[in-house]
Amino acid sequence: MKLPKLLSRTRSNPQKDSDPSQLAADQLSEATQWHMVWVRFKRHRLAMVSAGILSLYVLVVFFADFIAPYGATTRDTNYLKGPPEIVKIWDGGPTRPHIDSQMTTRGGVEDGFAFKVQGLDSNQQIRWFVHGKKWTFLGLFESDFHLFGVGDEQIPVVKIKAPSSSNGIGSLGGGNSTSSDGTTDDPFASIQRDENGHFQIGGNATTTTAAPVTTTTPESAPDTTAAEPEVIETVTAPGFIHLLGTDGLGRDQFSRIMVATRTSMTIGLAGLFTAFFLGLIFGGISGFTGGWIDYAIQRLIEIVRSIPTIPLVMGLAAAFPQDWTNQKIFFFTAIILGLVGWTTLARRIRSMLLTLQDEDFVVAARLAGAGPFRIVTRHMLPTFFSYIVVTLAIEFPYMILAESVLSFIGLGLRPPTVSWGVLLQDAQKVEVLEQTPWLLAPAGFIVVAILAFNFLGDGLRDAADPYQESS
Amino acid sequence: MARYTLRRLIGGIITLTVVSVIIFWIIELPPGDAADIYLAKKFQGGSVVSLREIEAVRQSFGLNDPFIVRWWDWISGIIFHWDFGQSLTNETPVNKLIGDRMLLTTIIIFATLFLTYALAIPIGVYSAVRRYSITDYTFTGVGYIGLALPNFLFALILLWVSVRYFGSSVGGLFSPQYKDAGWSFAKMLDLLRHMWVPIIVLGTANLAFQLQTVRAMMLDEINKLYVTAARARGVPEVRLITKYPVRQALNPIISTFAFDINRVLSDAPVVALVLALPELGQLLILSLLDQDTQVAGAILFIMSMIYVLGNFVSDLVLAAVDPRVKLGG
Repeated sequence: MKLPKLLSRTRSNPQKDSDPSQLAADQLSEATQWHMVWVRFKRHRLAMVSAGILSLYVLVVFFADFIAPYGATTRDTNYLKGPPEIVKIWDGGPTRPHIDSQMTTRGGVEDGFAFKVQGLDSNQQIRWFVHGKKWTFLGLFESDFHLFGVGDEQIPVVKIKAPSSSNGIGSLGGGNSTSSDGTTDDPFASIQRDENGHFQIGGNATTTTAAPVTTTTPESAPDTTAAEPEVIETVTAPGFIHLLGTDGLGRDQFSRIMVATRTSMTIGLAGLFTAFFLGLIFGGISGFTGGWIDYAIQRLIEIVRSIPTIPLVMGLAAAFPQDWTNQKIFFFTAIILGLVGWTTLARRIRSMLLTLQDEDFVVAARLAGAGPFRIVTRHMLPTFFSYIVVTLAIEFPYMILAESVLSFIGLGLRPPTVSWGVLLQDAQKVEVLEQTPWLLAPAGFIVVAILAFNFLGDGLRDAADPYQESS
Repeated sequence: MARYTLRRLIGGIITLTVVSVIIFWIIELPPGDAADIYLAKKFQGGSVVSLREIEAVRQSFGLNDPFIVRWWDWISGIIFHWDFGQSLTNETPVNKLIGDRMLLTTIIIFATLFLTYALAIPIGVYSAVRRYSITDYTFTGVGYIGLALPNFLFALILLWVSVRYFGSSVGGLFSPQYKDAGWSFAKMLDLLRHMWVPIIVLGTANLAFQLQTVRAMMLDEINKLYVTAARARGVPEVRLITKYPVRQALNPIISTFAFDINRVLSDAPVVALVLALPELGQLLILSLLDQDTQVAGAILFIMSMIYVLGNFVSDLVLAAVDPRVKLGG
């Protein structure tokens, strides 16, 4: 607010321009506290970058449905356990961003029924602002626009009956039931048509042949197969884009992470405010009254802290009845996070109050007859407000981490609600990690968020006291 | 010193008493009690259960007594007989379920902390003395990542790397042949071979934290006048550093010893779940998922005991190293 005035003033004073450092110092000496904090904060480059990254997270919190191309439960049954698809902008020459169309088929028994990727010959262009699933923004308005997608383009997917010579498939192919939308069924394997009209066989047709059929060239494919596959039908399926792959049900990992980011961030925030509220009350009472109340609250904090944090959170969360709705679990998880996390904040607030107690301006306010409530809220709180912001920024990662851990082990939020922890639940088993390592992607989002909050906290801590010389 | 020790001891006992009340409250928190579970099992077995019978079972379990009596029944069993009662879901004593998990947890904690300190102190001192060197930047950077990477994710990633690139899982604490064998020297060696993974996973965050503490403390101390005075007297540099500022820099490590125990105890369960370690934390999660709060409560209480004990020891060590602490009470 004061900045424009400052600039106009210095412009009218040309002799000051000669010494830029002097100019900066003069501006600072007249700046408001928040302006000084901002100037100080800007110097911390890592913190600035972190603030940028975190603002992206905040955007995701508000516009998750818009950024995600699909819903959290939308299934692409032709791309189960599919790896991330790479966006290409070069195809012999620069092209519009596109992805190669792919589908996955379940392998035979010798592959442990692992899914295999098959390239389809078409490719799909990525478009901006496509129509898709309807979403509402905070209940205010409705839209079906999504930031990006591949439009309504259909890709050809061909279904064939497995070769008749491949005996035993009927029984072994039990693991083949992908229960897709009527397109894949037990005795059938999916194949793909190449430009010559030949079929390339994928899936469990390989069980009978010594050489893996999937590696044969399209020209030789009809020769090596013992029996000509019988075409059941050629269908077209809607094209999808999966930037971060899909899970075992064909749900888009990127979309799920976007929605999960919203859940995890909001629950962390709710937990943080519960903790802040409790910390303010207990820390405030403790620091301001002193005496035996202070002593009792300090012992209480020590006692709460002597139970290991995450096990305590888990123990409390285990009491959630099975029949609770997800909203209820969400609400009480936030409360538990607050109940366990308030001690740090209470201690900080108490120590701030204690150091301020003997400051001249507080003594003056007391002598002027101000009541304790007025002293705390009008005189003391504004002084250490910036420190509280710092403390909150430092505490926030613990909140999201605790929620992730809780949901990860299955005591917190439950599917179909998605949070980072719920998503990682799928990646708990070694076999899953081996086959679909991209399910670990939410971990990256957690780590980046925590790192960013740490750096932001560091930057804020340095900036919070703009009068102190930086070290 | 005796006075100080006694005060700390009494403080610890009071803390544990209140903690036990909180934990007992958590045990009874979920809807339904031991009698319900017992009778539900009987009902599934085909017998008819009458209301009168429910009341009788509840009476015999002492579930109609006031809270404080039920708590005393629970805590007195632990104090006098080290008996944590019966598991709710499978009819075995909690003690049997815990078995030597407590020993394994203790070994993991202390091995982790030992490794942490053995690395953090020399590296922290070196980083501070050679400030802004490449080594300093490297360790500070690694430290940041260590702090930000949640333990269970680290464990997951290690698990994935080991399966993907080495073809074997790093999970577990024992090879199959030693799993149910009694304790022997060979079993001990086998444990050591498996233990490095959880120790690295659990130690990283702690290492990063302690590294920063030691470095910051050293930077504070290294420019003080007494160091300059000693240097002016001609004390050799290595002796100068180890004799004066390092001694000061060690204080926060001793005083946060219990805090470190708490952190490892807090992080260990999920790591143990991911890596399939047969220790207390893993049993805690499994029993919580099983709604068996009797077992879970026992483990929570044991963990708190380990923490309080560690706190007591660190207080004593701190008082021995830094006599000022004693006077402060």
